Amino acid sequence: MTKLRSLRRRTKWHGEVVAAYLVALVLFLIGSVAIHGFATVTNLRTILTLASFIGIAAAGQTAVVITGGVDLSIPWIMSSSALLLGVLAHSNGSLAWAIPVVLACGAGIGAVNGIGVAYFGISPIIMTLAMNTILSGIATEISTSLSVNVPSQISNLSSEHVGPFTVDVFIWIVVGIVVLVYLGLTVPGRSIYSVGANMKVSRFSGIRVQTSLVSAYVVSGITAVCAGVIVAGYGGQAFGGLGDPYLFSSVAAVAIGGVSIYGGSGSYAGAAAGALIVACLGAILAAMSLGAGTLDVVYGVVIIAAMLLIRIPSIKVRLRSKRQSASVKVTEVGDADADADAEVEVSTATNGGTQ
Amino acid sequence: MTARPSSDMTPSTGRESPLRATLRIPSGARPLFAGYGVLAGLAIFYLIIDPSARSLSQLNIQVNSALTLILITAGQIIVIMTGELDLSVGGVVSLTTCLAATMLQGSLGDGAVVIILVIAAAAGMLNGILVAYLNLPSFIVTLATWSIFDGLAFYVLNQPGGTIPLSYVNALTRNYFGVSVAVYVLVALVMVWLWFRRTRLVSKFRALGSNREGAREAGIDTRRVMVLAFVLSSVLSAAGALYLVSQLGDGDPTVGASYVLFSVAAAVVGGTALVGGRGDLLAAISGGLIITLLGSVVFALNLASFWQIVATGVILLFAAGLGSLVRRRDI
Repeated sequence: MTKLRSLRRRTKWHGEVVAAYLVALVLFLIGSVAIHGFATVTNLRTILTLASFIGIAAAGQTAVVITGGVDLSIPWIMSSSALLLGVLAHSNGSLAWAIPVVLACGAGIGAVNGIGVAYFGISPIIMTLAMNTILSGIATEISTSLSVNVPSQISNLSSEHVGPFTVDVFIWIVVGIVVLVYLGLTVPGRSIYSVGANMKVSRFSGIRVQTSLVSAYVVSGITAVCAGVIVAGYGGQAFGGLGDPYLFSSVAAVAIGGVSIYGGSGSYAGAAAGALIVACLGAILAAMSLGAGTLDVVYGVVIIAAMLLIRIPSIKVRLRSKRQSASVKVTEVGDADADADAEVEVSTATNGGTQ
Repeated sequence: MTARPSSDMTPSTGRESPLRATLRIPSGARPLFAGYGVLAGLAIFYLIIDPSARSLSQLNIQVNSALTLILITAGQIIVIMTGELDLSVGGVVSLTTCLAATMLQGSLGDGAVVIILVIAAAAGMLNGILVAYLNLPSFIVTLATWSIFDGLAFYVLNQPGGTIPLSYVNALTRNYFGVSVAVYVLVALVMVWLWFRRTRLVSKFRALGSNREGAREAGIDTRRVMVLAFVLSSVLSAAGALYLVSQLGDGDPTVGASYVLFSVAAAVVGGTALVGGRGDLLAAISGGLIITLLGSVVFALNLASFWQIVATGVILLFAAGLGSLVRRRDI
C-alpha cells in the first residue's frame, strides 16, 4: 500500500488530475446530449485520434514546462520532421531508416534548444522561438514543394483501429507511459523536477542541472517528431502549416493539466487529460460549425483560466503580500500565515519567470 | 536582474540646458552604437554588392519596408524595459490588418483608424491587467492572448482579403517632397522619443525592469505602469499594422506571426538587453532596418529567401547568447 502511495506521489497523481479527466468526460457527455450524432464510436475515435496528436506534442511540452521553460519550437519541429519524412521516404522508399533519421533530427534539434538554454543562458522563449523560425526557413527549402505525400504505412496508423482506438491512440499511450515513467520514476526525470523547482539548490545538491535541462528539450524534440509524423499520416500529406495549431494547443493541454508554468510540479497524467479536454472542446466547436478562429480564442481563454483556477487558493495571498507589501492598508489585513505561504509561492515563482 | 544602477535612469540635472539634455547620449547606450555600427556596415555592404541601390530613393524603399517592424519593435522594447516580453504582438498585428481591411472601406472611412487603435489599446490593457494585477507570467499570458487575438482575426476575415481603400493606400505610400511618409513617421518617432525618454514614465518603466520591489518601495504604482507598457506596445503594433496594410493592400489573419520573433530579434540586434531595466527606442530603428536590409542583401546575393529568416534567427541567438554570457561574467 505504501508502495502504491509512493508511486502515486512520485508520478504526481493529484486531485486536480482526476478532476481534469472528469472535466473531459463531462465535456464529452455535454457534447453527446447537445449535439446529434456526437456520441458515436466514429466520433469518439476522431476525438481520441485528435487528442493523441495534442497529447503526444504535449508530452515533451510537459517536460520543458516542468523545467520552468516553454517550447515554442514544437510547431515547426512537427512540420519539418513530417516534410523530411515525406522527402526521405520518396527518395528511398524505405521507412525502416527514415523514421530513425527523423527521430534523431528531432532529438538533435531539442539538444540544440537545450544547449542554448542551459549553457548559453538564452531565455527558453527566445531560444525556441528562434529555432521555430529557423526550422520554418529550412523546411520550406528542403521540401521544395508546398506539400509532400507520406507513405501509406504512416497514413494507415490513423485509419486502422480497434473499436474507438486507432493505432495513433496506442502510440500516444506508449509515448505517454514512457514519458510518465521517465519524469516520475527515473533519476534523470526526477532531476528535471528538481531543476524546475529550484535551480540553485539542485546544483548544490549535485544534480547536473545543464544535462537535465538539455534532456527535457530532447524529450520535447522527439515527441514533437512523433506528433508531426502521425499528424501527417492523418491527412495523408506533410505540409508547412501542419504543426501550427500545436503551439497553443500543447501549452493549453499542459496548463489545463495542472502543470505549474513556473516549473517544478505537475505531471504528464494531467497534461494527457488536458489534451482530451482540448480535443473534446475542438470537436464540440466543430460540430457547432464554429471555425478555427473560435478554437484559437478558446485555447487562449483556457490557458489563462487554467492558470487562474490552479492558483485560486494562493492568489489572494499573493496579491496581498507580494504586490502590495508597500501599501499600508493591506499590510494591516495580511496575517502572518498568509505571508509565510506567499514567500514559498514567491520563491517558486521567481525561478520560472521570464527574464 | 542587475542591481547595477544605469546612469540613464537618473533624471538630468537642472544645470544642463534643455537642448543638451535632450541630445545627451546616455552612457548605457553603448550597445545602441553597436547596433548602428552593424547597420552602417550592412548598408555599405549592400551598396557595394548592389550598385543599382545607390540612390536616394533606396532610403525610401528600405524605410517603407522596415517601418512596420520598427513600430512593433518600439512597443516590444518598452515591454522589455519593464522586464517582460510581449508575444501577443503577432495577434494584434493580424487582428489590426483584418479590422483595417473591413472597416476602412465602411461608413467611418479613415475615422476607423481611431477605433482600431482603441481596440488595440484594450488588447494591451487585457495583457497588462493579467500580468500586473493577476500576477501571471507575461510570456504565458501573451502567448494565450496571441492565440485569442489570432482567433478574433479569423472571425473578422477567415482568409486573406478585404479591401484597403485606394485613397488610404495612396496617402501612405506617396512621397512628399521626394521623401516617403514612412521617413516622416520615423523622424516623428525619434522626436517624440527624445522628449519621451526624459519623462518620468520611461524612468518608471526602467525602474520596474531593474528592480521591481525597489520601484514599489519608491512609491511607483508598478501595476499601473506595467499596464501602460503593454498598452503602448499594442498601440504601437497596431500603428505598424495600419501602415502594413497600405503595403499589402488587404488584411491577412496570419500575417502577424512572423513579427513576434522579428520584433524581439530587432530589439536585441539593435542593442537591447533582455534583462529589463535598460533599453532605448532608438534600437528599434537600427534593429528594424538591419533585419529588413538583411532581406535585401539576401535578395541581392541571389540567395533563397529562406536565408533571411534563418539568418535572423541565428543572429538573434548569437546576440542573445553573447549578451547573456557577457552579463554572466559581469556578475
